[in-house]
Amino acid sequence: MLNHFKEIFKYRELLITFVKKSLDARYKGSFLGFIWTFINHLAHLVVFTIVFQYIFNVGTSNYSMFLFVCLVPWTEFTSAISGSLVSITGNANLVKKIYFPRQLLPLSVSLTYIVDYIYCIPIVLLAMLISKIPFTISLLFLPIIIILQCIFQTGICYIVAALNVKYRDIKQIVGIITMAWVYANPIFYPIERLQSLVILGRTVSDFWLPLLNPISSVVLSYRDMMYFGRMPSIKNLLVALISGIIIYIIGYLVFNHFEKTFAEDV
Amino acid sequence: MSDNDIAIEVKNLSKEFKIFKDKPTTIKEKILMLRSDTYTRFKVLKDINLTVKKGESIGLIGHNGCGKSTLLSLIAGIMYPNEGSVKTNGRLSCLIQLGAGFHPDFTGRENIYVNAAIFGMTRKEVDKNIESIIDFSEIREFIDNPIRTYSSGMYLKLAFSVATHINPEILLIDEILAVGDMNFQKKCFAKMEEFKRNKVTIILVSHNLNAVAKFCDKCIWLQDGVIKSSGKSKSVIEEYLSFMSGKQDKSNEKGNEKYTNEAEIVEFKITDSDNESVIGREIKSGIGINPIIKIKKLQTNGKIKAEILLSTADDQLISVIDSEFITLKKDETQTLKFQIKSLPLSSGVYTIKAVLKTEEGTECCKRTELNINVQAEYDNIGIFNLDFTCKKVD
Repeated sequence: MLNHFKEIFKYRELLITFVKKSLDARYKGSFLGFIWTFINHLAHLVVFTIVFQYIFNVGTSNYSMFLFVCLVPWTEFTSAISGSLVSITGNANLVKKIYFPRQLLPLSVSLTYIVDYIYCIPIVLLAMLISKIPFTISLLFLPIIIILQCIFQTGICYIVAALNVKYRDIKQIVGIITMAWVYANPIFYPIERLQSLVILGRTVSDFWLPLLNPISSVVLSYRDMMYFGRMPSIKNLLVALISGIIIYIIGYLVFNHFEKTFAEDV
Repeated sequence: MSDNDIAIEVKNLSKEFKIFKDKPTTIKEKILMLRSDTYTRFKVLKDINLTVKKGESIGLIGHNGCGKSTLLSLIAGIMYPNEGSVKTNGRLSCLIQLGAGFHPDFTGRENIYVNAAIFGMTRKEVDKNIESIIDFSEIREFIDNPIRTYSSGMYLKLAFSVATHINPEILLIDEILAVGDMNFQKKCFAKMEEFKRNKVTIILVSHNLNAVAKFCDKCIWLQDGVIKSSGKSKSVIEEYLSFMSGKQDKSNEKGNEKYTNEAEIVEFKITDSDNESVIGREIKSGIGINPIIKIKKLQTNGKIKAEILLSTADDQLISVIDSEFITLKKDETQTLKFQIKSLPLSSGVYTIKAVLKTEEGTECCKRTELNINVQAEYDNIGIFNLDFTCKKVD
């Protein structure tokens, strides 16, 4: 494991190059370039506002922002997973011909979407300003939450990237899982809705959700900081950290297991 | 020998591939067994042991499919061995494919950075070398165009230019010398010589035996996954060539014979001016040699002539000399002595073949061939080592 980080550090230049390359490549040749990401998210926000606030008339005050602050990082999260899915198979020519730590490929995809999210933060802040959501000191926790998301996300990226080399239908499965996963998180609904749900004597909101879907603690932390203007709870931070480390280690082990035959299987 | 002198150490290395009849690639297929999961094992490399000292250049030869490239991939860390271990000591670069990782939408300049990073160069090193890389590639005018607009030649030049500016301690090269025009190959060679002078450990996989003989001090001959022979380049290559020609003879015998059996070569030898055989030892470039051939006419009386074919190790014909037609009775023998006054060849292994021909021009006996091992005083590129002088005249 220590070697794993040493290797990554040794090849950090290549990692940075990969991240830059995929960020650049996405907007290469398009006229507006990065502005498309802004437009995309703003369009989302406008649609949410119209649909939920004016048509559905959802009770939650400022529902579009309630949704927006969680949905932006969530979109990046799922994009990272589907992006890393093909990170090994799509770079077959590299994997077959040149040595470098293979983890760099899914890791670079994960980091690309983290950077993409960081680029999006100004939009979220702008939206907060317009919606008159107060900026509080809790926003200082943002980097920590992003790092926690990154650890968890990278672990998942390792797993799907490695599995996809052996079994090409992982792609379909991951598609279905990410589609359903969004509803397993309190993104569209407040966490309070789960408080009354009790399974085996324990509430879903306090026990089952963090246990079975620990990434929800990251989602809730984003909402705490950027919607409610309050500190993320220590419990959420701890759940995110511990689950992140566990998933990362699992991802590392799975990746290591499959890595040995990448050059032959892709 | 201390551990620090060793660049590459391969111990008891074995690698096998599974050859699937019809491999399941999805979970559905795996579970439902829609495709048969049966495979046969194919051992590509069997128990390879190899130690390469720092600064050595090693040639890796063998026929197609003998495991050369697999061995290279294993040393590079691209593949993992089934058994045994590979240890490398030093910064390693592997030129198996030029231009790996080029992105078509990026400009030449951007791709230099990406490609160099893949080879393990830092951004600073590239910054320092970028001008020299662009100059070397000869495509300065197009360097800021996306490389999807490049011709394949330009693409290759750029890729090679990056590859030569990496700063490795161990360099693995697979057959890249085979690409490009003459000029490109020459440049390639000059660069390799430079690496060699700078004490870079080099492993070169090539079918260009001349290049291997000239460039590599030592040579390893892989045959069906085992090291058949290793040692000084020339002797290994000689051994390899006589093995290969032996194989060819066998296949000739089995298949339709391309020659008629009207005559045979009883004896074929090559001597120097002192009547000593030149086979199996080094001869100096420029000395004279005498191919001596004893022939016997079979079947009928008739006219035949002898031809001597001189070619390079990789079967590039250099020259053909022949005798007059001579009339021989059935079962009569005759010895012919050719005298080649001077053989001004560059260092390397050359093949001399003897063949008999009838008046109609058909070959009428089995070809016989010998290999000679020429050593020139100074090395140069090309086949001939001309005897020349140069002085100022006004």
